[in-house]
Amino acid sequence: MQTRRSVAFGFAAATLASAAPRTAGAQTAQAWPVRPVKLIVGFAPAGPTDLVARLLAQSLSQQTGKNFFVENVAGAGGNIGTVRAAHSTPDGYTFLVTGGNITNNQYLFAKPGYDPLKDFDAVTLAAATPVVLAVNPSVPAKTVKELVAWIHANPGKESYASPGTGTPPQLVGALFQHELKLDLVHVPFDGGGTAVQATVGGHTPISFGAMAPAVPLIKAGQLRALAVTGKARSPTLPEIPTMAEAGFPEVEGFTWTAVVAPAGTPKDIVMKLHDLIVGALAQPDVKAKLAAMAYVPIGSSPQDCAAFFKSELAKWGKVIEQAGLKPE
Amino acid sequence: MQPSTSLLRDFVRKRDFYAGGLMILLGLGIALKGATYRLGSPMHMGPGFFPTALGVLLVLIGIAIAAPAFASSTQGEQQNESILPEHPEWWAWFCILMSPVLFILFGRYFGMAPGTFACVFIAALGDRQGTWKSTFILSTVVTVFGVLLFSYFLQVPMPILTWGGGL
Amino acid sequence: MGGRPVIETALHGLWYGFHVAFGPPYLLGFFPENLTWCFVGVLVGNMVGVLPGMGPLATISILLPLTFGMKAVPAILMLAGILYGGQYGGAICSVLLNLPCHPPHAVTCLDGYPMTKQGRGGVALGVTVFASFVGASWGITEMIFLSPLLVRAALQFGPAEVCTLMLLGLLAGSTLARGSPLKGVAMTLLGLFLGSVGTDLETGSERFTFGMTELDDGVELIALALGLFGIAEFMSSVNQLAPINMAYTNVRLRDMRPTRADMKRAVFPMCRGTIIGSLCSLIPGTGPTIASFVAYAAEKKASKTPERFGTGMLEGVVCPETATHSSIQGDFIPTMSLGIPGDAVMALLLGALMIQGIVPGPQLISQHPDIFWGLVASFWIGNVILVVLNVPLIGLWCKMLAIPYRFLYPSAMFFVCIGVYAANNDFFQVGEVVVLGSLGYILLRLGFHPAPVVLGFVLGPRFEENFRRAMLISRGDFGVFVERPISAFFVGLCALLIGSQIYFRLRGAKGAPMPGAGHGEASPPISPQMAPQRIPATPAE
Repeated sequence: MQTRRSVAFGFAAATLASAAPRTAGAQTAQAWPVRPVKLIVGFAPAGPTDLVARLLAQSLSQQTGKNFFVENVAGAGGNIGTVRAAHSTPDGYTFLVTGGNITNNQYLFAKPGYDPLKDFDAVTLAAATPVVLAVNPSVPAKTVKELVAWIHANPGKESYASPGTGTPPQLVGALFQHELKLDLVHVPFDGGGTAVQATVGGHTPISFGAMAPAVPLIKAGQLRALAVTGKARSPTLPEIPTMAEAGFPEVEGFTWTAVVAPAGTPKDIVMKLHDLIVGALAQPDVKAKLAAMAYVPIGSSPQDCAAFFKSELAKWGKVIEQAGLKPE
Repeated sequence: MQPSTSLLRDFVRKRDFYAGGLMILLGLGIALKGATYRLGSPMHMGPGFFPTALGVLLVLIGIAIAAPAFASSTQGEQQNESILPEHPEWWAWFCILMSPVLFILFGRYFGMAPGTFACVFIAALGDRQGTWKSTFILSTVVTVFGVLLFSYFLQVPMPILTWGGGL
Repeated sequence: MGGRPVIETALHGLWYGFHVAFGPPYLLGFFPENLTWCFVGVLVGNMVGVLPGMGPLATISILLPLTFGMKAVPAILMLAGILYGGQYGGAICSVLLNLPCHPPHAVTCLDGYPMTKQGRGGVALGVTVFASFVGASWGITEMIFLSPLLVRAALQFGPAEVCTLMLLGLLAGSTLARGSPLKGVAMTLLGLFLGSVGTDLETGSERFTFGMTELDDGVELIALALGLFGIAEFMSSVNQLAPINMAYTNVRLRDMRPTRADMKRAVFPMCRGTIIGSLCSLIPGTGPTIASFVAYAAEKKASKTPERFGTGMLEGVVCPETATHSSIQGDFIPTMSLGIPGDAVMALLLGALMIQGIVPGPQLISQHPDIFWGLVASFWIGNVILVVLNVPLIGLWCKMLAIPYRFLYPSAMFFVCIGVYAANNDFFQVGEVVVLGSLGYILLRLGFHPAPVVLGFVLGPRFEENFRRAMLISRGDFGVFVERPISAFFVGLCALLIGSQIYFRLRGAKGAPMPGAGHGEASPPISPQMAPQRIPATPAE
């Protein structure tokens, strides 16, 4: 089944691929991969993007019998790895596993060194995890509406923690603050864990943070989750409403992980990798492990993924400008 | 004229004079560069606030270090505080500092094995007792051992042999 | 909480942990699987830990993919083993070669290397192994009995508290090297500056990178430590060294053994180191590097003969080493019971658990008792293995010094290069070593000591970030540092420290025969009694 489908896709894509200037030839997809495939991750090992990449790599290796390996090229908010991937030979043996940095860094850095749409061909939006709005249990607000009222009642006092400047949780926080014109101060930390800890300790009573470090503390009652900021509720915290349900549909955004190929990679190989990743995301083991990290598998088509990049670029550019995060 | 030159010679010899001077220069550089970044307000401190403060402090400390060198320079009985060691080893220093440079160049363009060999070879050349033969043997041994250890056992991602910068 | 049941549950858990460690499944029908992987971990960690720059971070990243095919318990036991096993190896090159293999051991160089020059390197290492065990044991004990209590205490530390604590550390640390306090302060400031290179955390703008993307994430700590200590030391020792190798050519294991007097001297520093290490492990973002530096500074303050620190004081080796080990084990407490990693290595271990589908947090003990208690039990077993492993090896390491220096330093140069490269697979950082090494040598010649630079570098960014966070939270009100009790306490200590320094200098200046005597004694980098004899140069052929 798997092979037949990819052959069919390969045939269809071959005609397209011949038009592209830098392709390595149309016959590649059937045999692909014949040698180890490199997945570049622009962050250090064991971060969320890296963990998703490694889960995929493991499953892809099992499916194809060829080695898919992760190479961490960390630095400059993911830019060094992204640039490295952009300059790689588009032969189907180097891919980039990336988070929202691929689009957001266009606005956060003066010279990110690449163009997310021109330098890359999207493969798939692999998985996503919402941002969770949580408060210290001492905060007298049980819903987002009560929280907004509480912030208005305490002008010039309250602050929210985020895992760092320019991270998706902070951008969602900035969106929240600017859409509702709240008197809030953003306090950036150096990671999801430390940010959550500051909120558990009550130093910054509100937190826009990643799910993974917050969930155990929410379940233990040391944090109170008010909303998740995804389009739908998170299966990890099914009882927590989305922002839209809480009455603020404009505050929406999530952390995602996508796979992209250097521009000019043969379309049939891109399609085959997409199919393999969709296959990986359907495996119960991968599903369970993604769920433990509060990720939801997606596996969108390359076209949808490219369209998603465009909408992200359009959406966050404005937020970044409003929040004053433009590079100096 | 006469006293001022001997005064000059006196304190210029002093280690603390150079030490303080270096700190003043560094501090000035840091403060001036730091001031080009936004200073910000007490609440929203800009990226420039901390470095500028550091630079200014470093200048002050530099002055405090150098000042006694001026003050006591009239007393001629101070021991020689030359900043160079008794026997400068310019060649050996050069070799040691070139060693990582060659590691970078050869490692990047030719791979781990040539990089290691060049790195050890040039470093060993710095020693007066070394002979060409012993240097060569040492470099070979370290190269073989290093490649085995780091490339095969520890899987450090650097090609053993490559051409023209495979990275 | 009632004392009795807590202790009872803890002991019960520990007993269960040993069952996990020693229990089935058995490999080859005999070796308990979990224990075997723990052994592999400490062995690999220990051996790799000896290599300069190849710290636990690099080793764990390399071995991480290997654990994906393993079960969760043996995987985490092995990775944790690498972490604490690496620390046992880390002290060796610091003491014997002045090469801080990983940053926490940089401070061990200060007195460890002079001890080696005096022919007492083996003693230093012997006591270190013992001290490490004591430190680690306390860290583990803490993890068993006091976790919930300590976590609650840790949560009290917000940005204001961490900031003032860092300030205290910086002030105390400025005087940790020999020589003039002013020069120490200057070096701390230089370290603070080097720490500020890179992307500013709050605004994301680049500082002092001069357009180099490679500097966006700052100067690499390993490059800094190896450059300032290692390269600078090679530059000052090349073609000058004779006495060290002479002292070790025919050495026996018996000469390496610490005497009773040595052990007696080490007892109190060990206790102090343990306490400092375990305190540091609790405070968010305070890893073993800070613990060891603070421990050294505190030990120097506590000593009756602070002026002899830096000349080979056993206390100056024991206290920071104990603190390092105590802190490493203590670091597991916030990681395991809050799910919040204290530093990069802990984040890596957390990731290793996450990929196994296990999320550490307050429920870890009840949901995955095998992981928590198995880990605790494996710590103890692992540390015993490490002591058994390391004591006989000390003699072997010391024999390394019998290798002529002309072979030793070029080989060490290679290990430095590859170690720095492996930290991030980046050649640029090897270049940093060259720059920092030459800077380190110039500073050494000018009578500066590199240790406070490393301290400033490590503490600086945390100080600045938390200072700015505290100011954000307080909305620009400086009062926040004295309004909060813990923070006010630290501010008080800082004031006391500065006050006492000024008082003693003023009093000292009055009685001093010469102006500027306060720092006129700026010692040469190598003190006279152990200045190496120059070998008559034999011309190369």
